[in-house]
Amino acid sequence: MDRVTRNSDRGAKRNAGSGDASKFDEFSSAVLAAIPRLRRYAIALLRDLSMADDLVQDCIERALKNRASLADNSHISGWLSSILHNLYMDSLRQQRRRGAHVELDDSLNLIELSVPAADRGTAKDLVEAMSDLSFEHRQVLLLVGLEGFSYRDVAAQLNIPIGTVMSRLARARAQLRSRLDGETPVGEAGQSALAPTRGR
Amino acid sequence: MKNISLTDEELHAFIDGELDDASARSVAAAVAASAELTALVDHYRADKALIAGIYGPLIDRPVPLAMMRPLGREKSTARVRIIARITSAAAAIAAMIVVAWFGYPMINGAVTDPLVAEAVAVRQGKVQADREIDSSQVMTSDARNRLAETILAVPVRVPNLEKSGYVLASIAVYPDHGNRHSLQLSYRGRNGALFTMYLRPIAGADRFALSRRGEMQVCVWQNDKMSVVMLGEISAREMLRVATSTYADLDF
Repeated sequence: MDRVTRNSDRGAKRNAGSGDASKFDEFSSAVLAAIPRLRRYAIALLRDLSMADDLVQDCIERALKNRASLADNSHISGWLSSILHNLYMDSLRQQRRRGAHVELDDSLNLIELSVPAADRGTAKDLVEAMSDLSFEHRQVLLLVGLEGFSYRDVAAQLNIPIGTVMSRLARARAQLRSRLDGETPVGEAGQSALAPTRGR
Repeated sequence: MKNISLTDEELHAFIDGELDDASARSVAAAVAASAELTALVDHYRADKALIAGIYGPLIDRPVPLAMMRPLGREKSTARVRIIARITSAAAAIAAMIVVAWFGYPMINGAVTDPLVAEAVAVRQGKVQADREIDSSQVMTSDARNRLAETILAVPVRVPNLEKSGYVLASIAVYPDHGNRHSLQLSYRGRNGALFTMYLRPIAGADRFALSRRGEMQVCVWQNDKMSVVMLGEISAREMLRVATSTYADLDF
């Protein structure tokens, strides 16, 4: 009987072990599937391939360490973006201390090479206009416009109120439009394309 | 017309489909009633589409293998899992060695790669096969290898992927340039999923590239004798696993 119990314990441990392995496989498959999207976002946001790759690499390692905090693999994209932001904010503080600088040419080459030749002029204009925006504005524009996250998801990822997401997005789009129209940058706060409130 | 108060934030929430039905209808009516607002909404929608259109293809850039490496290892106390990890680490290292050997310049995206486009067209049946041979017609490995060598005019073996869970279903022969043919080997997974391997006897720069094209995982392996494009709706990890055993078996 005792033997049966011990065998049963071993079986349970083995099953638990194989359950862990299966969970890990599911988790790593979910991360692998999310990498191309995460990397695209990082490249677009940072405008520097090696910096983006380093950040994504760090993000994967942090995700592996903290994987227990992800309850549902279907939320992995937002969860990874959130980690990426936190890591970037950490590195930004260090870069500010060091005065890091991003060469726009690298980003332009990278993005121009990813689109058909006919679109390269448009790509150049867009990348330059996006580069004139603040990091926070690029962030919301890309999360909503490129990655398709809802306002609620973006708010959760950036840990800011949904109203802040909405106001940042409105200002970011207004600024982007004015840059694409060839207007000179007007400062970090930018100008609203619409008056804050209007009656019709 | 009823006056409504409309903020920038509401306008963008409307563009992004974030409003409830009633609010969306109300904003839509205000936009329709104003040429200025209609033009503005059109501009913002176009800018949003532009962002997706210009940055979107970056998703197809090949992912560096080093980035995926941490996902192949996990600390475990269970002996069986340690063995499994060592095995997978060894496979990953083997893949890395092969990659280093071929000096993979993962520069070109899969989308713009004519070789990948050709392999995808073949997989999708857009290219007429000269001949299609059911695997039952060439049952033995020797027969398959002889067939592949004859068609490709390159010493090559048809990979046996049964250990990876894929069974050869058919071999299709396609016309190529310079009187040399290319081949598509079609394999079926346990769940019936299609995995294809396009072999073309062209010399090219040595490379190994793993990338994603929509749902499809793309793996390109090329040396100075032949190019191989593997396509499957599988995870990158699974592709890496199959690609490693393919390389070991191809022997080209």
